[in-house]
Amino acid sequence: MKYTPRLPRTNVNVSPGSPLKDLLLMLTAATAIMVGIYIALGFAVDALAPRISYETELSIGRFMGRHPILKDAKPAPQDIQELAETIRTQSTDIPFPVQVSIRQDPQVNAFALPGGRIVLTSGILEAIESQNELAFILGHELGHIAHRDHLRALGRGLVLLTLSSLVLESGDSSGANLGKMVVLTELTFTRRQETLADEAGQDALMTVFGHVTGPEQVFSHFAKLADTNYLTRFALTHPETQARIRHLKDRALANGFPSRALVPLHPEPLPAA
Amino acid sequence: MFPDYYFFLILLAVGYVTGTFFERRHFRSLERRERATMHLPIVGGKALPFDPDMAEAVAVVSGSAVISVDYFKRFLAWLKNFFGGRIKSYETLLDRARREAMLRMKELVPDADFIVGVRIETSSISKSQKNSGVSCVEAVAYGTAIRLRK
Repeated sequence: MKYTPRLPRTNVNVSPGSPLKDLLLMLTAATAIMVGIYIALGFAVDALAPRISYETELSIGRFMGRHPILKDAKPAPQDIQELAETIRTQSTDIPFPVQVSIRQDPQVNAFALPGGRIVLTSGILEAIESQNELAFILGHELGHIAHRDHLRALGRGLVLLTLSSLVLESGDSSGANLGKMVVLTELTFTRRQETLADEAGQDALMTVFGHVTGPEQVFSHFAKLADTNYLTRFALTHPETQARIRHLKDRALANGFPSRALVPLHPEPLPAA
Repeated sequence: MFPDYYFFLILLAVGYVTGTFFERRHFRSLERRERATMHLPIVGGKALPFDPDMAEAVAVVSGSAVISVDYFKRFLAWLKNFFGGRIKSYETLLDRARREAMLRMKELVPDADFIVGVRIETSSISKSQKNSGVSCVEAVAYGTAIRLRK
């Protein structure tokens, strides 16, 4: 037998094709799957959140402990606390007491957290001028609590956190950073949720004052502060804000809710900081 | 959070650029050296292709090569874990290791006429700490080199 030295013409042991193309394809597929899971679990959260009992919500609130937003927050003055309780007992069916806290923050904003906690920024308290506006804001946030919007948002946040830790491995720093991001995303609500919370706020005004003046003033305070913050400006020039005001007006007209003069706030509602 | 991602992307890019560069260079070197040593036949079968009395010198020879995975290859393989299929990024790695090991064995005995009973074995060298630590592959080729009486 004669040996004829020859090298193989092609390398059968290495698959042809660019690894970059492979990477792109797999990343796209992985992203699509993750987004699909997120959307599916989001629907599951929306279906489950209204079924969570108030006792469970309270224990979730305790379990979560001190929310980062509560970090530099102080309990609200007695009159605000009492107003919130009045609205809760007369205008909603939330069976547990709510606690209002005030956060030192120049931004004009308010939040609802699981376990019946409402956080107002010192910015929003400085901006408003009447009891009615305060009642509308509290009623709006209580509406979110009554409609379990904060639980939905929390659930979605948890889904996002779980998925991200699945991908990025739990415990590493990017996972922790994503966790912080979740805290922010859990405080945003959909347009429909906001509309329903606005209606709850209007009901609260009707219960406490017998008329529904106030929401427009609240929205106008956002407008005055329009140049302070990009996000606020966005929120106000947004057609949604106008749509929300219009919706409340239409609703007042349809239900025959009257409009009367505003009740000014007590002088100095906040203890001098 | 952004610095973390930048870090990851930089590692990925560095892994891809340097990995591809060294891999291409290695493949070129393999081809050149294979051409230079292809006159020496390597035999895997059990029957000797010559009369045993003709053997003048006999030696056990072996060659081994360790090739490391780069960040890009590892990430690609990790992604492949979800979907299944051929891990192309590791195929080149193993191909390089096997051919390099075989070449080193041949280069050890330039004046041999045959290497018989040749086997190739592969093992992975890795610390099993999850996703950290070294991961690379080793290929060992061994056989019996024979020089015939002229």
